[in-house]
Amino acid sequence: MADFLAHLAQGFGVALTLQNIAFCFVGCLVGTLVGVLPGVGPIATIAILLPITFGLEPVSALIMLAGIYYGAQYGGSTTAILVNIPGEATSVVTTLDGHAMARRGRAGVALGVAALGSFVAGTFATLLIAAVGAPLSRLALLFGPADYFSLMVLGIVFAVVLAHGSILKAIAMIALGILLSTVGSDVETGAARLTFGVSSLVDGIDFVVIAMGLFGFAEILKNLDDPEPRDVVRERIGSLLPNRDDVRASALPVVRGTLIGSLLGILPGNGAVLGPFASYTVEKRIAKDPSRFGKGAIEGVAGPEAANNAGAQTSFIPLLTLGIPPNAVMALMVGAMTIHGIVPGPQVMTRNPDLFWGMIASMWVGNLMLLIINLPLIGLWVRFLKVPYRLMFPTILTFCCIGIYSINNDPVDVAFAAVFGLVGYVLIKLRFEPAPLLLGFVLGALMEEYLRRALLLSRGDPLVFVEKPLSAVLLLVGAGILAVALLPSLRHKRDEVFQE
Amino acid sequence: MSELSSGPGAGRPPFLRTNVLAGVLLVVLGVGAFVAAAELAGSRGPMLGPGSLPRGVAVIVAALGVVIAVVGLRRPDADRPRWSLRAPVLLLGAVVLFALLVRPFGLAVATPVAIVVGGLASPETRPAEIVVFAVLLTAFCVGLFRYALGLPIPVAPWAGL
Repeated sequence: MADFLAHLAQGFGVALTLQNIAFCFVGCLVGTLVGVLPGVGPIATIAILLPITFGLEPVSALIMLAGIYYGAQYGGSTTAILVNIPGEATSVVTTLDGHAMARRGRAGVALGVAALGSFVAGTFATLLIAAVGAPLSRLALLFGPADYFSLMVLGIVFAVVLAHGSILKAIAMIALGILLSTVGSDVETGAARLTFGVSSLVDGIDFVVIAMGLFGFAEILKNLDDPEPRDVVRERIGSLLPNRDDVRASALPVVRGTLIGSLLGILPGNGAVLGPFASYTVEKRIAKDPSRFGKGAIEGVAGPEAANNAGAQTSFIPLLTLGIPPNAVMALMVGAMTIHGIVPGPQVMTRNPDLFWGMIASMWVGNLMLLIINLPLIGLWVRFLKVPYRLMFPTILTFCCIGIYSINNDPVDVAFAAVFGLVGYVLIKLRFEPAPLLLGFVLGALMEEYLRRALLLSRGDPLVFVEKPLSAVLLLVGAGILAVALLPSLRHKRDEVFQE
Repeated sequence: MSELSSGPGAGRPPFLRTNVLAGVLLVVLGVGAFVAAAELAGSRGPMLGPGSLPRGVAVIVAALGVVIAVVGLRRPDADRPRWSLRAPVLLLGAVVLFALLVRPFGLAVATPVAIVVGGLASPETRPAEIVVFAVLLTAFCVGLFRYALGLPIPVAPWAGL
């Protein structure tokens, strides 16, 4: 206990100097402003703004970077809610109910709940890291490849449950997403898979390209076909901040989301990406009226956003102690940290305690800053929605094009996004949902890698997935969730499973 | 199960129903992927080959497509989605134009072209307004992305920028 307080005290001593507070503030502000542009997700934002930190002292640079990171994540949530475009995989869930809330004039409430929920989650996660960071990272090592594979399968089950339409079509979308994730060079053999001779595809399809096409462009096309709903958003701004009922409805989802996200974030294998999906599934299952989900249920925003932020913070544990970055954003952070002198590894907590604990503390400060910066800005963002759509959608179009181009400076990426826009349009017309496809895409590559490793270790024995206890439990949970999801449909009418 | 006379989707020939088209699309994609991955090595013993997952998933996609199409043949559509040609062609055409123009002609040309062409996808767009807006937004983007953020995007290579 004394240790824990001492660490925090040390950290805050570093983070709360006037200079570092200022850097944190600037980082958050800039991160949010850039992250909020549709088409510019957290990865692009961090990559773009990283050079700003070069001239600073290590501690200050990392503090500013933490600010940029959280700002970018929150900016991504803002875009997800306002214009239904996910900046990265974790924002996909926010688009479901967050944007639905925006369509009903409750954008401000959604943004506010996201901000508050994220802050609560961040606080808890920071305390968790300070208290049990080191031992927890060793716990995560209990997971073997078979267990990770089953965890990803569980993630797929979440994606199916996420869909509020036909379950059959949702599974088909996930499968399609996995198929798309195999495009590119095979990791083991280097063989070109499904590239059709196109050289830009050799590195696989970028997440941003699919997300912008499937969500960004297809969404615009959908709105152009159905212009009426936009008026609702334009007229009713409603209350800008969550009222008492909203807070009461979000409280428990935030708590649950925080726990789920914190636990999943500790796993080195990008468990954090599952946090929002798991939280959404849990909330939908527990809710008294699950049919509200997908149409603007506040729990569908509060829980996942909390899980998202908690996972983002606790994923620093395996990152710092094991040096394993779970995704591209974290990889950039590791790179930045190495540049500034923190070398991830088991001794990182003892070798540079000032830097380490200062960084952890500044993450919390960053969360606080975000709340301070964004709550007043909500009014501005919501007013954004009043811009006539005939001017808004070309703006979104432009930012998406420039954002996509800026990833690899490759115009083929932009062209591919157009292709995915067409695909998305066709899918929507055929009553498919794009969200499960995106999740299948994200999980596909991970699943294959773990499947490979698990089979290799077990020498080709497929029973390893039920023999290892953790893996078996995870698969059982997944089967259980799937059964519960399908059972009511089978009980009521067989047709419900195939509903539009 | 003969609800052929119910719903606005009734009266459409069965093979044009949404679910049937959806299923057929999936089958085409699945089969296409399978064929494209046909030459990749399969699994040998404990080693998962590069072709295993693509082919396996392709089969699943195609199978689901068949099921969905069959369902579509047995039930009429609940509603009638409207397909339009103008919006997708113009909007996605604008994106493709941007991709074609950005390297040789820079943001200064690619952006306003994309904005104007894309803008035409909406019947609400006013010509004079969109052109002015295009110029303003281009200036803003150039200032933001090229100068404020320092992204290496060509602005006007033909003018040396």
